[in-house]
Amino acid sequence: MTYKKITFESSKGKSITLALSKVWKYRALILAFAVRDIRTQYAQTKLGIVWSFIQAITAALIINFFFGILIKIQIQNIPYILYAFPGMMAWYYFSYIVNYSGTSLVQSQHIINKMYFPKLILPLYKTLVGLIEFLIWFVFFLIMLILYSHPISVNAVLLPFCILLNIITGLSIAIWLSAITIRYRDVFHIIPYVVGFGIFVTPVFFETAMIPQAYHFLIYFNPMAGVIACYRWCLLDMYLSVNYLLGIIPVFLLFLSGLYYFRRVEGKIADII
Amino acid sequence: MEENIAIRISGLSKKYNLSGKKIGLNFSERLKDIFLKKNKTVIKKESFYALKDINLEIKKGESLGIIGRNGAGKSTFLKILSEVVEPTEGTIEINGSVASVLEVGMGFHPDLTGRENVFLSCAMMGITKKQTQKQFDKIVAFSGVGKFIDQPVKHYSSGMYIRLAFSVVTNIDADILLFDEVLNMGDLSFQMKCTKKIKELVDKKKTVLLVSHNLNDIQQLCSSIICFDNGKLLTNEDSNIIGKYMEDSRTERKEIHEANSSIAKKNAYENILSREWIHEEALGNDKIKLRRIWIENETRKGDKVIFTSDSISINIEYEKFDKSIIDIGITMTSFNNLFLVSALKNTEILDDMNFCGCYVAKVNFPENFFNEIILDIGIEIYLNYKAVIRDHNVIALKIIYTPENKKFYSVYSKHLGPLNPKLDWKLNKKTD
Repeated sequence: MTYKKITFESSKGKSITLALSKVWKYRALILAFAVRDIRTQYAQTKLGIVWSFIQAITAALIINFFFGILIKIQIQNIPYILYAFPGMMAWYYFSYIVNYSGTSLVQSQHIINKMYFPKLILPLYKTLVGLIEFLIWFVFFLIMLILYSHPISVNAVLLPFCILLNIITGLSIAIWLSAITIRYRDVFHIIPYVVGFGIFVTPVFFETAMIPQAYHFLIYFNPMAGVIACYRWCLLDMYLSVNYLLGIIPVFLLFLSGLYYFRRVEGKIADII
Repeated sequence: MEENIAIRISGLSKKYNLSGKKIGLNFSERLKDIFLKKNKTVIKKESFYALKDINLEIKKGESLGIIGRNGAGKSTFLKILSEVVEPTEGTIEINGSVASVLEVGMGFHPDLTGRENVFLSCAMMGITKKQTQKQFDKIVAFSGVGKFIDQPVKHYSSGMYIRLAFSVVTNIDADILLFDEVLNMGDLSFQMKCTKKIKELVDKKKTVLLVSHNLNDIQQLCSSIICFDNGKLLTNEDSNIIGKYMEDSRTERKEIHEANSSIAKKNAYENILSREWIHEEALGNDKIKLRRIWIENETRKGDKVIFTSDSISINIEYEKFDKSIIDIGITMTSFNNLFLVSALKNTEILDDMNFCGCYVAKVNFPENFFNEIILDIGIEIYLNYKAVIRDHNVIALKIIYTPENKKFYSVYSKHLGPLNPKLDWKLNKKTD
């Protein structure tokens, strides 16, 4: 027999840890939502998940043609596409989280109004959906490594940490966005800019070394530059600068404050949305 | 909290702020408003209470019917109990697991199969996969979906969809069940199945809260009734709330009727017991005109208050201008548009009166025939077997319990219904 006491102070004074423990209690729902999205994403398609694979191949071909062959960007001793692809993976995953986790509350308002569950589940489960596509891209990257017969670095054992960092970077923005979308839908108009132009100020297709030394610090402040550098260190054993911490540390502050803010507005979500 | 209490609510209020939009500001003024803090437009935030100071205790195994007009706070109340919205003030203590149907088919995804949706909606209610697996066969069996369980639910008929969704909630073995107007859905046989299922749950000593506009269902299923009225709670101890609710609805219907009908506008319902028409307005045509219709208290002549123990008559006065054959009938409609009585004058007895002139048709109802009730009385007049007048809302009749008998009846208040006739009972001792 479960016993609950709901009081009007419920939304105030609850710590983040309590919020997270509630999410943990509902972890089955995270999985159920994620499975639902993945199933329905490819509902009534013949190729199903192969589409993600096709997307990865076309993206690789186009980028390699444009930057590798036409513009001829040279990266040390690594084939261009192997250099660019981890960046694309990371950025694609990041933008997926910002886009879908950030708008997840508004997209699910019909459920929020009718059922109880910790609302933090919504931005969280979207990261799982995105992870599936990320892994498909990763498999494609491994195939390319074999094709180019490029050795994979031993650092690759730390890949899960890179992915976690990638998720947290995405969520640090997405949780704030989702909490703000409850009241201000203006956010919907900002997201495409962040995602669309952000890729050009992040070393996805180019190398930090190609920028004049004096402006390097600008790159270091970009958290996604740090995440991508981690991936490259992990998979290709490229140099990882400590300076990237300049961008990574604010991410964690943003992430924690986002959780805190979300916790504060959570009780009001069903009333406002 | 004591073991036998399922839900205890104390001092519960829910306040909503109406959004205070700054009307009349153009875009640049709005920008100024945001960036320059001067020139601040004072916004008065209006608020209203959807629920105000609700105190209630619901015992385990109790089945509670919730009635009230639209917007009275019923749904907000259920939403708070199912934790969807947070109360502004007050405490709620809940003893046991809660399953709520605020909307049938909540969280179902059209592209998923029935099976997947069952597991998904169970997960949404915090039920593990293992527990769902245990109940799965029962859920499918009750829903009657059968072999379609592995088809996407978007291909279901709406009936199948509702059946499956309802089946999930009622079969997951929650201690407290909340239903928001679920009995009005689906076809008749499903509605009966639902009613039966809820009855079963009540018998199993589950706590059931049921919002419905169908008073028959409420009376059938619920052991006690509460009524919400503009966010306030009326319980059965306060008054006869069903009667009040019915009267409220009647007043509203009367208002609508008055607004709609041009005839009714002038002198309708001034005295609901009688109605008279001046020449031009009279219902009818050039062969027959309705003059007056009135109700008379036959037991206590002239008394406007009618008790269940009074015998009443309904009198219809009409004027006839030729030799056509006239048939007169009355209809009685109860609160939820249920036809109770449809009585027609016997043509044969009166056919020698089929000449011009004024007539009064009178029909008697014996004492102790009706229960406490409000009835709309209508009239139907047929001329040569063709309907000339057919108005189901001409006058209204309110019958209340005889004061002496009130105590006696309230003991049996569960046996409410439109009729409460005194029948001839015989009791014989069996001798072998």
